[in-house]
Amino acid sequence: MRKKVMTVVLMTLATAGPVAAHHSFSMFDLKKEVVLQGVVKEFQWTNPHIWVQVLVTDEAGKTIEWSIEGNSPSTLSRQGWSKRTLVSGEKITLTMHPLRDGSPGGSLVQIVRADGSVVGEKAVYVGSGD
Amino acid sequence: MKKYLVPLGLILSLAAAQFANGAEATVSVDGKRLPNIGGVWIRTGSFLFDPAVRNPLLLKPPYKPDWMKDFDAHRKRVAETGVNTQDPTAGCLPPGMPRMMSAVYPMEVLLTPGQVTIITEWMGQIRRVYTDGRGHPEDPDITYVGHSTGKWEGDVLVIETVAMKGDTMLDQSGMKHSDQIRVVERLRLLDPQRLENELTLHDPVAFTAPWTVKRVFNRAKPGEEMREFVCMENNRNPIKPDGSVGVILQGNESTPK
Repeated sequence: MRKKVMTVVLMTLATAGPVAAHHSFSMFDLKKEVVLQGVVKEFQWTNPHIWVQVLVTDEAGKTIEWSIEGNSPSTLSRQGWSKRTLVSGEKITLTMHPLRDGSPGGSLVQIVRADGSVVGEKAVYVGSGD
Repeated sequence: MKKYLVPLGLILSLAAAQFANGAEATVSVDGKRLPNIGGVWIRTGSFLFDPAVRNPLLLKPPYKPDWMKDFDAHRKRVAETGVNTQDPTAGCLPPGMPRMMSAVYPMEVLLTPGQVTIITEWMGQIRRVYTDGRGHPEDPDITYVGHSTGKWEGDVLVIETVAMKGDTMLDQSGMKHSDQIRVVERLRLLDPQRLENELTLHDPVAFTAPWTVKRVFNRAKPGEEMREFVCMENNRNPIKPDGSVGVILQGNESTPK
């Protein structure tokens, strides 16, 4: 029982949530959102997609590393992100669409920092109409 | 007569002004004063081939019945199971033509004597559109971007592309086309800050009729640069043996990767 992993099933369409460009994101369950509370192990500011490696520890002290896929540096840099947006060791609350097969991975929806500020992803950059 | 009024008016208004971002409104190329379609352009509309459609289930390609049957089965399977076996770009193969012109990330257009060059940031693909009057090769090799020739009809750059590979998709929905596809594009400035590309696909193998869509691009803001894109830098979405897109997890030594 991982107390720090909360699952919320949303009544939203499958088209909601972040849409990445490099490939279809259909391996993630876009109808579900899961919230992780953890610590950034590594922020991979890379093509074709960024990844946030998050360490989540449950009450029994067991730590699981989650691999969270985000959009691309191309798209995110135009939304104000940079290679310095997240740093290793930072405590975050991260919302993501989980992998359909239940393994510890997902696609990024948003991150809330310890000070309450929100680091979000828009589906695409300004003017796209997506 | 009336049809010439708008292009002439556009050219006159462009000739009188510079763009807000400092780019010249027109450029002299090959002895002609042309609308400056050069610069960095940002896509509007969805990622799909038809920019007005966001949900793959709503796409209406003019497929022949057997092609439509295959595509319907595919898109229903993706919607229900999340398994998409028809997206070669997940494995870092280039989108090719015409998918690259959806310009998921920005694209740059360069006007030089005898050639228009289109560079898409996504996958770093380059199209060379020959405007020096040459035709297509008699027996062209089949490539991702194909072979493109262009000519100006007033203020419209008309591009014809042939010899494209038949194993690329029209977009991430997994719409297929054949290697007999021919693409005609009409590129023009709607105003100094907006570029329109009207694309018509002719595919005698897959389609019953040509398919035309229009996509509009916004001129990039001053200082907005194209970025490097190397797909294999950190691609953690490999194509699995069954053709679907996977995720490479990291950490958790006890967890199979």
